[in-house]
Amino acid sequence: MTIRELVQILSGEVLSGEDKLDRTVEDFAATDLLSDVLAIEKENYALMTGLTNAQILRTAEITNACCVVIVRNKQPKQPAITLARRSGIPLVLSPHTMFDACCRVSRFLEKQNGGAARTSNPART
Amino acid sequence: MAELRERQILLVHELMYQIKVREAMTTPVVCFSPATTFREIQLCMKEKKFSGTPITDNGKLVGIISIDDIISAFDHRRIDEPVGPYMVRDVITVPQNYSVIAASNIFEKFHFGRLPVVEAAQSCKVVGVLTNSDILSHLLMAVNSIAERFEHEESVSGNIARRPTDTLRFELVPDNFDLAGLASTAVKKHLQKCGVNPAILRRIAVICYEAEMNAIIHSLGGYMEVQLLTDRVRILVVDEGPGIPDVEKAMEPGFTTANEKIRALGFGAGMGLSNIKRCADQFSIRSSMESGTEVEAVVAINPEAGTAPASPGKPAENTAGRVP
Repeated sequence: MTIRELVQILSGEVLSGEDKLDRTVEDFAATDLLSDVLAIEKENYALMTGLTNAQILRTAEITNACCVVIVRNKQPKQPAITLARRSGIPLVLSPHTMFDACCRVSRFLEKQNGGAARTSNPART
Repeated sequence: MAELRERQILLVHELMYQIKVREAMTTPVVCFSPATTFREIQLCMKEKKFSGTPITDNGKLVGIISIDDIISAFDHRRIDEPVGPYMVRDVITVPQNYSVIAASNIFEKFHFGRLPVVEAAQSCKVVGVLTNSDILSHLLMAVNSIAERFEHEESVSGNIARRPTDTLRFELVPDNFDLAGLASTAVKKHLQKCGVNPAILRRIAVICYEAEMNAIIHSLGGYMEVQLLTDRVRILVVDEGPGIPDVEKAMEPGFTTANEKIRALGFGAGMGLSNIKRCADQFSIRSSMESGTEVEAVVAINPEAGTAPASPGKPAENTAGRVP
């Protein structure tokens, strides 16, 4: 799916990176623990989180995430917005809870894959 | 070198004049009316993590309440009373169109923690709040973006050639979470330009970031040095203390001494050191309670081996030697 589709699925508001919404989202990580994000190997993934600090963008940049979604409409802190603009990583705000957001993504992927259950690389620890 | 330093100081000085208060301030700002109780403000401070707030009446600034006022309200058992009669009324403000140098001078003179920012001189309409750390963060970001622009111009004109050795060095400032990760991002960008394979680059970036966060969270400050050699990248992070009492224990996945504040940032899961080790081809850590901690990681970059990423955690064949 593209970031644009992800934004639609999550009823999201794009806070920055509007010009990069046609990029493909290859994987997902949903967590409030950035240490976990650093320990798994995913590329071009959407980082879904309840955190609002600048480190979500730093972590995204370091680990090659393609976008960052903040759930539950929590307003990101100013350094996070500044960093999103500077790094060019789209930052999206979604009103859904983390669980609902994950369910929505999962439903979309299942539909896209013709009902086949999606398998993802398990996290390496 | 002296000339360079002089130019750097001139640049920062110039930026202090160029950057306007409205660019560096925090906005929107939480304001309260004089009828709000100390307790309500205290709860909000705790939730939103600030330590002072302007008091407004119909949008007009009438006073200011800081954490000190809350503490004395606790002391005098008036925590459930409105703040109106007790707030500081004679508030010094800074207009949003002033340079941050003006604000910096006020901070220096009065030792305030924060300044309410007003729409214009003589106005009482609050549009934001400015702290010293807002100024510092904005300044460093501005310096960084200038540096990046220069780097970009240099690389466009083809001046960055791959040299046999190439060392980057960054100071790591303890507890500055707005800037945490800046060094690692810069390393990543630089090595990307030097043509390091993306999968290997990702491992190097994660090592730098974990080590940088560790130093910022736990240490009294230090530096990170990244050396690009022909066949490998060497990352050295050295801090000035306080040292790790039990290194073996600190290496265990899940062991952490991080506090609640660090965990609220999404870190402190006790995965940092083991993750560095996992990503590195060679890893060593030395720590002493006298001199501090030194983490060294080496990642093979194998330019001849093509695009296949080396398997993480296993030493690559061409770097059989141990780190001393």
